[in-house]
Amino acid sequence: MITLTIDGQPISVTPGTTAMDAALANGIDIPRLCHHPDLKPSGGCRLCLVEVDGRPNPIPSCGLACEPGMVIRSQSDQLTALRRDTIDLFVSDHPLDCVTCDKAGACALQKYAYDYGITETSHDFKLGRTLYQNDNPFFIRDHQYCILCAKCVRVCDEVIGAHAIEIVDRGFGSHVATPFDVPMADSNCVFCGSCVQVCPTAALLPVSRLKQGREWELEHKKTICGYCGVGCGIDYRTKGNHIVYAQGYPEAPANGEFMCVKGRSGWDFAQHPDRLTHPLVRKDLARELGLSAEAWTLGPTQRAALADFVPVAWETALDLVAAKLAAAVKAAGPDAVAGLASARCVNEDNYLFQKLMRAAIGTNNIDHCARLCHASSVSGLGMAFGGGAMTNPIRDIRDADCLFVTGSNTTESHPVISYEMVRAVKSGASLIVVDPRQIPLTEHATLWLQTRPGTDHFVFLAIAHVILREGWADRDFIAGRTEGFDEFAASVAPYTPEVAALASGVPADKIVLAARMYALGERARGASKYAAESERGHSGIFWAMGITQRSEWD
Amino acid sequence: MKPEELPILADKEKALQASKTCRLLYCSSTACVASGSGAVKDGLTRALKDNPAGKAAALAQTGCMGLCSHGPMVRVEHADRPSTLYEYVNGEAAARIVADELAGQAPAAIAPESAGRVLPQDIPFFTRQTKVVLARAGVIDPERIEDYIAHDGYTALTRALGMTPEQVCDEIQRSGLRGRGGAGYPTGLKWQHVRSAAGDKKYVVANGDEGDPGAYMDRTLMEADPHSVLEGMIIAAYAVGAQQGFFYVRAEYPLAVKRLERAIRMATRQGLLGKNILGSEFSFAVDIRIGAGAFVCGEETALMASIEGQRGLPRMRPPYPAQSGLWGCPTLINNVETLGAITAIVNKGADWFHGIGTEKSKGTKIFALTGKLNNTGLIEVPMGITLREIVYDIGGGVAAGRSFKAAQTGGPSGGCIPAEHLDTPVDYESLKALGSIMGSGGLVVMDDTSSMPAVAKFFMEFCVDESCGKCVPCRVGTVQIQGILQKVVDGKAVQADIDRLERLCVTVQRTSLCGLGQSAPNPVISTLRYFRDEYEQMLGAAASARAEVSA
Amino acid sequence: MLIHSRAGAVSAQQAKAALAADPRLKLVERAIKKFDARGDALLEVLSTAQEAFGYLSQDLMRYISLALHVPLARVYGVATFYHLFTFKPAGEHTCIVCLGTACYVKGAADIVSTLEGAYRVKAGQTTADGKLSLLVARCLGSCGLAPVAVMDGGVVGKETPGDAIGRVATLIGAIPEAQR
Repeated sequence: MITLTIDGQPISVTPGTTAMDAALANGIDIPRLCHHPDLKPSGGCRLCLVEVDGRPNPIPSCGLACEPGMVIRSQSDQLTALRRDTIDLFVSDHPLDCVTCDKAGACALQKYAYDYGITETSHDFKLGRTLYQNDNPFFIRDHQYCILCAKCVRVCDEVIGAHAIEIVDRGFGSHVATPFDVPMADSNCVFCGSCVQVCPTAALLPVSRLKQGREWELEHKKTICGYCGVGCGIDYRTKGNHIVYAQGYPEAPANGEFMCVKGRSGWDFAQHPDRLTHPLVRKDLARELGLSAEAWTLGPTQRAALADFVPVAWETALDLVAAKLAAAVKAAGPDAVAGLASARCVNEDNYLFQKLMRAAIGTNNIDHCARLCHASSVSGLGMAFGGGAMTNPIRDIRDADCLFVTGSNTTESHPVISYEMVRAVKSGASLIVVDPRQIPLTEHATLWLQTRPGTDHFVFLAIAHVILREGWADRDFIAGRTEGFDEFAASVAPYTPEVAALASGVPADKIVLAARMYALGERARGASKYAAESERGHSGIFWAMGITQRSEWD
Repeated sequence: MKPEELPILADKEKALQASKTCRLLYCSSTACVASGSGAVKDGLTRALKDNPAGKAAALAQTGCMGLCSHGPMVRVEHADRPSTLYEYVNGEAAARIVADELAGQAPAAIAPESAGRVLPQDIPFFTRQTKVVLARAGVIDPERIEDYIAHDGYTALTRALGMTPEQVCDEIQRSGLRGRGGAGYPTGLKWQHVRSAAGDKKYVVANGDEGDPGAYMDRTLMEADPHSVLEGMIIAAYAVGAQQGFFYVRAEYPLAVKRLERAIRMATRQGLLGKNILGSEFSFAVDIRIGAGAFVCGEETALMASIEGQRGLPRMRPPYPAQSGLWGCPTLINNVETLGAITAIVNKGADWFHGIGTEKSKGTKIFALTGKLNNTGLIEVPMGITLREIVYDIGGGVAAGRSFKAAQTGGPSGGCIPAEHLDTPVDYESLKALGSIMGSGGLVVMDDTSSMPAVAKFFMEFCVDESCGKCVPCRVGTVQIQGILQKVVDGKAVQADIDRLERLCVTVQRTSLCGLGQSAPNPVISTLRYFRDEYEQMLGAAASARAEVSA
Repeated sequence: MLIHSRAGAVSAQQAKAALAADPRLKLVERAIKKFDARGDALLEVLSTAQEAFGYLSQDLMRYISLALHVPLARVYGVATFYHLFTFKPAGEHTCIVCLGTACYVKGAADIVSTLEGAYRVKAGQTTADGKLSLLVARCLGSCGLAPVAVMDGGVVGKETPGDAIGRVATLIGAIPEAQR
């Protein structure tokens, strides 16, 4: 730890911390427009300049590494004057039409203009960019509000790994664009909306947000995304029980501020007129039981699709289901009933459902859709690690030194996890992909072992073979923590890289290279976060359904 | 090649040159090519072929001889008497020169205005210069490594390899050499930083992205004596422990690129570059990277981004390139002219170099002397020479009988120096005190016909055009400054605009991210400092007031 | 790039096929090979392409993006950053006028405005008939000869507006419209 002083306050930080991060972590707010904790410092907005004792000129705190004994001031008359002048320049190139702006109240430039008392520019108002682009269903790009902080470009490259946009041209005429300014849909964009999330102004806004009210009229409704197993936190901004838009929030443990297209934009079903909002009973059954239709309003498509159903009250429906289940149990015993639960329901609901089946009905005929996708990993992981779930939190991925991905098209199936992988690779981790397909991750891969379909296990066995042959295995760990290892070692003995190469089509030297990278945790570049505690880097294996649903061992 | 083979090669080349009755050297630098040195070469070749004594004479190209405005130039060297320099040579004059020289006659008396007349070499343009870096320019054939070796080439490298890397760094530090790219950071200190930086992999970059309009020192040096820059770079690499070097050269300099490529090829073939240089343990490879037209890439962090194949955006310092440069490795970045001074320092010693110049600015500086002068061209002068000597002695005074108004140094990052400061010694500190900078060495002289607000606007347009756009003060500030200057030039500005201009200049200077933005206001600030009356006379209010008086 | 295949995306094969018949592509391929298809050689490869084709077409940039494994957005961002690269075919002939300080002080701006007027073309653009591209440069490093112009690659020094008009007329074989 090193100690320095910011605004008279003694602060201790780990070496390598920037003055900005040190200040923010200690409740000192430094103005900033291009800084984002998840992005590399840029230094372009010049608002975060601070004074440092012994340095003649103010220095941007976002790029200033803390040094022991440093004395920093984030506020002074000089800094205030410089910041005012800088904001003055920003607003000479950005309309101050805050009264009608959808971003009002959430706009960082508006906040600083307010803080520093800039009501209008003292310069000649001159816009560098005027394009308005609404070429996709998710967000609009209004370039007149763009302040070229490049956070959108950086997040797309550094975090998402799509690199769909870039600053093009230079100087006053530079602007953010897709290649050749093609519509977003024809670019690499995955519509994860992270650019919209980090945009400090109204340059990027969700289409659903436009003209839907002022920021302070919206409520926050935090929840967990139901689409995949990542479990992203979402903050729905709502108005009158209607979702206006979805945004990430930094404290969300799995995803921070970033989401995928589904989480950020796939919520329209919640308020869709076709959504089922009440129980329905088949018409013939209703007639038989003498049930009458309740006065529900049906959506336009529902009316046609539900012609054979009658809407009923919850009480009626529950009574009906209970009676029918009871009748079945009575007639044929509890085991005549079976329950199948879904991963789209929350854990609590799944728990209650099995309780219902076991305690109320009295049967063990209860299963879950994860049987299909997760059963093999539960038993495999249980056997190997004593627990059938992910071994690490998602955020550990960014600190891995070597990532080994197989049987997972992470970018498409668990996009937010792929962000963590991209981030690790961008900071120097090596990435090995074993997949017959050229999945998006291969673009970031240090090594792509393209197996013939159905032959990946040869590669895995050969990697184990090489690790043992080269003495890269951790013998102490094996001796202390495993059983039956000799049998395992004997089982991989025949699978030399050459044998695997013949079967899988992957060159033997690439298999050896992958074995070394994985076993030693070799990085593509840069130093490991774990350099101090272990000689080897830390490797991680990532697989999904491509492995768990593998049924055939030829 | 072994070190002991070097003198053998040198002697062989010297013997070959001595065996000729005379050597005819024609300048093949870009300026002289533009003035028609191609025809001169053809004329000389033909005349030598037709002349029975032609076989005994040698014909060779050289780099810049300095007085570019008088080109194409030809120099004829004899073993037994001083050389003769001919100016404004054309094809016909070339034939006459060959005839005279081979006949052993003094040059025929010709009309003073005709092509190919003799240019005396005892004029101040030549005698007031001190050639250290440019010592071989205009003397050797830049495309022949043998000629370079015959002129003490690669002896400094041999000497350096006999020293420890620390000793080499010390020697450079003791010499007092400072970076010639403009900022004037002590070169030896920079080398020490890179040498002591942690990391196995290190790089050396020669910055030849000479973007200042009005400056062509680096171009000329690379064209006239590419091996000396290369040798300086190899020595630097040895001193700091680098394995790979890059020449970063503007795409606008195709001849310089061609000659560097050839120099690298020749040196590699001779074992002066590549694995185990001169039989030592030291290995070093060099590549060329072409700049693609961005002034900001002269800034070292932007230059590195460009070498890495990125948009040429500068980044924040620290970390400095010496700690984290190309691909995160320690990187030494020196200007081409800085590297050009290394061989002389290693060969003649730090003390000798230290003896030239002023207290804080040692050695010589090359200037591209241009503008409204009688003699324009490339000059190398000891630090501490006065502007007056440069303008009036070397430059031959202001052309067309006009009077001197200002000298602009440092290009778009520099400032204008008015007549009252003509006796200022030229060194880093004095120029800075006058509100200008040494810069890379462009020196443009303006006469009384130049309007200073218009000159300031010219430079600001350049900065607007060349701003990378990353930081707001430079991206937006320069546009606003340009807007005010346009108003001034159009006679539409009022006093409040001048006040805003001054404040804006300070903001841009103090808050910009890199050197380009920080220095962009300099031409405005310095012209306001010395020529404020010109601005005020152009104010709209002043103009209308004058109109009223005359009415 | 292939990352997200969709209608607008073009594969390496398609991008190459669009250029395949062009022998100039060989030069670009050679540059890519020389640099081992490393992404950091992007500028070198773009320069080679610019020199070989005279401008960078979208297909060419797409091809380079795929060959070097550099995202197309970065290729485009880099290409638009540097002034050396152009995106439209140049005119049959080019006239570059240097606007460096030395040339400016000696009246290069007059040469530009004279040519602009005479050939009805703005600096940086090509005449409607595609005959002449009028370009300006920021110092060609021939300041000793200021003002300097480059006519189809040949440097001329101490240029005057009148001479420039004459030289360009000879170059393109046509007297300027405005003077007819």
